[in-house]
Amino acid sequence: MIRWKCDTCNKVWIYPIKKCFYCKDKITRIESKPKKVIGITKVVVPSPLHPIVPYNVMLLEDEFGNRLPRKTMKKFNVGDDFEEPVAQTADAVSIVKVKYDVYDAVKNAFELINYAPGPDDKILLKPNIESAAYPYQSVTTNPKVLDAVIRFLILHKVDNKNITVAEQSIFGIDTTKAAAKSGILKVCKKHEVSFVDLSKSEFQEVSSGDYKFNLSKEILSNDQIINLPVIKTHPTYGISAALMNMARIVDVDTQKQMSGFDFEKKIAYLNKQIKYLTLSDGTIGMNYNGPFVTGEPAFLNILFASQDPVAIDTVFSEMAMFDLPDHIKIANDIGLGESDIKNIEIVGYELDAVKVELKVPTTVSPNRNLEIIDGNSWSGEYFALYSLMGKFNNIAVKKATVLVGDNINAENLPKERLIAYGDSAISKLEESGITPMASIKGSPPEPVESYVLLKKLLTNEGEASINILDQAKSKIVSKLNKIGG
Amino acid sequence: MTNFGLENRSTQDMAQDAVFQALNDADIDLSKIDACVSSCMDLCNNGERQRHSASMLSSLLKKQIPIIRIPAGCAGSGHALWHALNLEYNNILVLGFEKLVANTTSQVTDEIIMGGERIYEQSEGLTFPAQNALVAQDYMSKYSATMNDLALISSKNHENGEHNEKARFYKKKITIEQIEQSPIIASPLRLFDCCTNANGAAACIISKDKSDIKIAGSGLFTDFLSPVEREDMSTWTSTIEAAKQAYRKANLTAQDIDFVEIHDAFTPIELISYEDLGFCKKGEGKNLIRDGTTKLDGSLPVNPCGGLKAKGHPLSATGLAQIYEIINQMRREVNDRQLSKTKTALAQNIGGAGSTVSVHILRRTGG
Repeated sequence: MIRWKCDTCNKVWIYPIKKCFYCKDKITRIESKPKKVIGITKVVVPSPLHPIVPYNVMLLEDEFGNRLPRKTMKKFNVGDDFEEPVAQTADAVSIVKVKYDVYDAVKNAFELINYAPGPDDKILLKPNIESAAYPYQSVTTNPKVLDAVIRFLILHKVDNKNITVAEQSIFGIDTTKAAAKSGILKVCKKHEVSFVDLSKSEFQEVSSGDYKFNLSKEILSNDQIINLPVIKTHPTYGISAALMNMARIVDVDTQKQMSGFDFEKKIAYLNKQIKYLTLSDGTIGMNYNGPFVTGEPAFLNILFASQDPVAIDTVFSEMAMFDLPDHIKIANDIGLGESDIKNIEIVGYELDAVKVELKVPTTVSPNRNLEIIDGNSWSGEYFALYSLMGKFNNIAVKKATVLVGDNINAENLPKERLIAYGDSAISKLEESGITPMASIKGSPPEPVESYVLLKKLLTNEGEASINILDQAKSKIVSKLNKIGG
Repeated sequence: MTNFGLENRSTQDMAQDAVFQALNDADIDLSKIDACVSSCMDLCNNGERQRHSASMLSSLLKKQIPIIRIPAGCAGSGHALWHALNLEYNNILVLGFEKLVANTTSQVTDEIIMGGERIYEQSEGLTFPAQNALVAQDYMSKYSATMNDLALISSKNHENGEHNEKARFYKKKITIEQIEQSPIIASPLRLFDCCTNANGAAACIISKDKSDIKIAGSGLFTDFLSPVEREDMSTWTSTIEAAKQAYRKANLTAQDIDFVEIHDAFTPIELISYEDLGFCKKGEGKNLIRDGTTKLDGSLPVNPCGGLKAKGHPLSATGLAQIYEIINQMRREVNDRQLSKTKTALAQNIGGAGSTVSVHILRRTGG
């Protein structure tokens, strides 16, 4: 429980206040723990943010007489002492609600699972900076969460020189620029911790299961890794959280090779190669058609923490009231962690107390006339296509289907106006003996060329096609675009 | 005022109905109205998606005058009236309207919960029934009030509302057994401890010209958003202070009040308001209901219209609906619920859980 108090006039605020409005004097941030139950009511009417009923709302009081409502599924009586139990098992998941103080929530999340860094630890923080987006869009890790984690480490005497923030954005995106737009670079500079673009690091081959991965040496050279994914929805994989946030710690060739058939297995085996703690960022989180900016901010105000990446993703999936995605089940099957919710110790808020029905993602296509079929494409092609589709929002396009990636059942593909985007999709269709309306080559295809070609295909009726002149025109436009800057 | 209920009428339809009634009652032409103070919430789930309601009223009334919108949750039109009284115009139309019930219970609950503190209350599922349940627990633990006292309040208001043709529970008898056996909504509050949601509109005209009824005193007070921030959860400073202001301006005391319209969104609110409005000492509110003081035939009738409990509560329209009842009582235009002593009355309109309160004291100027 946090309150903000003026040192002079003793006024107390429930909101973070920088300076007293009256005395213009210093404000002290006061931490306390709720101690006693002074009221409790059972609520039976559901609402969208609280769909599981009945639930109880306790009124808790701390040693200073401050009061705090707290939702619980457990039974308490007025007069009971209240103490938050910490985890008894190593792989427990903590669930913490974020009030007005992100640091307090991060600290609670870690303390509930008994996590504390050692002062000599070399720690790598792996946020999500997959693309360049503003913090409010919840595509990237909330810089306030990163700031709170770094503060937590420093307060535990970790030397800031031993803290590294590392990420590799999706192919084609400048990681450092993306880190700047997301606010993460500013946090790194504030705390004087280094920021590493993993795409520029050296890579080392590792084996896991039947697979080989070129893993960034930066990842392998730290005592500890703290994974900071954003909890998001994903139309292909259901959710994108802890396990998926590790997809780009490998080089681009490995990312391409991981795509397609059995991607879910490969991501599980990749994760098996590294041990990490996860703090899942749901300060905003994402709903519906994530994981990019077409996803809606979910405003969840929640954090999860765990040493078990499978368990933490399972808890998110359950919280969202989704079916458990395949990649999590596979991760459980190969012994990476626990996906049976009954076997996961949860501390902090009960799972039923935080469940909220997120909207199942259906597509990443921002245009209702454009169906995208994703055959587990690698992120470079997927994001390139996604960015391209956005350019057709203001153009009346004729219905078409765009295939990206190669893990699809060719029998289920539409017969008409099918476009193959990227080399994987082209190969798959060739292999299946299907001739698409058009193919756009590259891995990923060059964006301006793709736009010129797609524009022709999508703004014409019937089975449009691409000829040599179209190809030439697209290349000219692309070159002119580069000259223009 | 319109009937309060579940009719699927548009906001414009309800508002014009209330405006016509007010104009007829005041025997004044719309052309003579110099300003309008209105109140409604910017609801997200009623299908209308209408913001800029002040300009919407301009289109509806074909008036290009200052139109001010005062959103204050359930205290909306009480606040609108207070604001209107502080403006320097001759004739002011004051209007409150709400289309609240147009979606599932879950969605309507969500609309209303947005009046609570977003991080400490909304995210913890502290609906308004739950908030008031905690207030009730606090009060009952200190002052030995019982659930039976709350049931008596509900029963009284339903007895009155049964005879109010504008009320949602008009001609619907509700017995004390039904009240005490109704399902729990937020323990210990039951269904009939909670007011009913409704759609509706109410309007009045205030004028610098003389009339048979005047607003002798008004008060407005805003407290911290959440009761958990306040010293005493079951004493609402906002009511006490707004009432003090109103009594002072009217040069009256609680003893001068003949009857009262109290904001009984939940039965415990009526109980604590008996005390906060000065009608008895702290902790003695239960005596007023137990000995029948606040019944229609008691010495201080409370909620002769049925209150929010039996009439229904279309948020922003409620405050002016209280004024409507007071005026009709003073003009002796109420049929089955007519009170004998009607010279001076008080209306209390609350937003949130005591977050903001207006109190108006009305006096009949004639005999």
